[in-house]
Amino acid sequence: MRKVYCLIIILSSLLLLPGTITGQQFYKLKADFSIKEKLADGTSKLIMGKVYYDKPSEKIIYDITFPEPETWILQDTSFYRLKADKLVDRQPSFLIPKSSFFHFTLTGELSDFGLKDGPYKIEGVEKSGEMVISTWEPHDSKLKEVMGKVVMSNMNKKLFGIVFYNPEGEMLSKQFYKDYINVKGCEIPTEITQITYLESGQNYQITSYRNVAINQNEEGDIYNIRIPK
Amino acid sequence: MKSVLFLTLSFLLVGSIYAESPNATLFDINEDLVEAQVADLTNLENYVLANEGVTLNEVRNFVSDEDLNLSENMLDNFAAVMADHPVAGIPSFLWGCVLGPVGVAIVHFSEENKEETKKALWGCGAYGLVIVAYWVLIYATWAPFYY
Repeated sequence: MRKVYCLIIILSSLLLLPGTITGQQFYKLKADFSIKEKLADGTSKLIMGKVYYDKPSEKIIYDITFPEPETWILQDTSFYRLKADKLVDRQPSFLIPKSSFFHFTLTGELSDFGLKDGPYKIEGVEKSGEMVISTWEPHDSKLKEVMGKVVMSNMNKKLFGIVFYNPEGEMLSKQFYKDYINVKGCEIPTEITQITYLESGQNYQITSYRNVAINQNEEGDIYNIRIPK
Repeated sequence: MKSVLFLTLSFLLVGSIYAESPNATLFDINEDLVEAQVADLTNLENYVLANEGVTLNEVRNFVSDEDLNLSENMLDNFAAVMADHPVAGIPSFLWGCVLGPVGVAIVHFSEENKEETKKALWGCGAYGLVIVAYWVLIYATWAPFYY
């Protein structure tokens, strides 16, 4: 009988061990956000509010307060706009939650921007000071028609910058990730600067995150928001 | 002689590892320039943070005082970036027109969007009409020879 108990304890330990080794799983993210954008034509944009990401349901919710209250929900391949809890628009979405900044942040894939498991192949790695710079080429024929190489730099194993090119080798945009904070063991950049290169000039966009919370149990209603018909 | 060769090779190896990468300059950023570009927006952002819940209508005076050239329909413009993206860049009508029922299924399962599916169905209908017209034409051309 004692042998059976010992066997059960050993088996239970073996089953539970992988969970202990992999550490904490991150499944929810909440933050205050603001997106400031200065366009090449001289106009500006500012959007502020809260953003929520629920990894199990792969749903991004933007609770916008400025310029006007609105709720945006991105789920699967759809984008929903709600005003005063009424659905005002539904469109197919370009941004897929599983390939979003929020998903990569929670899964720890942000350091390679999810490229490792995507349709890109690493072509070269070089070191410059504290930066490790890697060059990635698309290996999907459809993607090759619209996108060129991607050059990425990491510092202290964290994503620092990423540069996107078109198939002709012209630079499309640059993104810089900085001011990382550690919330419950999850590394999150709180400022992202994007410079987009156009024929007419350059667009500058700064996205900031404040009051970041991970795995919070409050505000369950907003994570489970139902989309009105 | 061996030690001289070893030292030379070591220096060359270390030099090649730490040589400035041509890609490194890609990640130079003039933060002052970027901050200057959005300085007026940062003022507005701080104002909105200090006055929680204010909307654009309530800060019109601040916007005009700061001489901010805010884009019309800011939310619509942002929303447009996230939406209106046909499957694989091919309009739904063409999916239906070229691939018939298979195309409609691709649009339906990829988009889960009635409007896009409807467009694909119209395309599928157009495809069906072309097929019918083709066979009517074939029949009309060859029927006199048989009857």
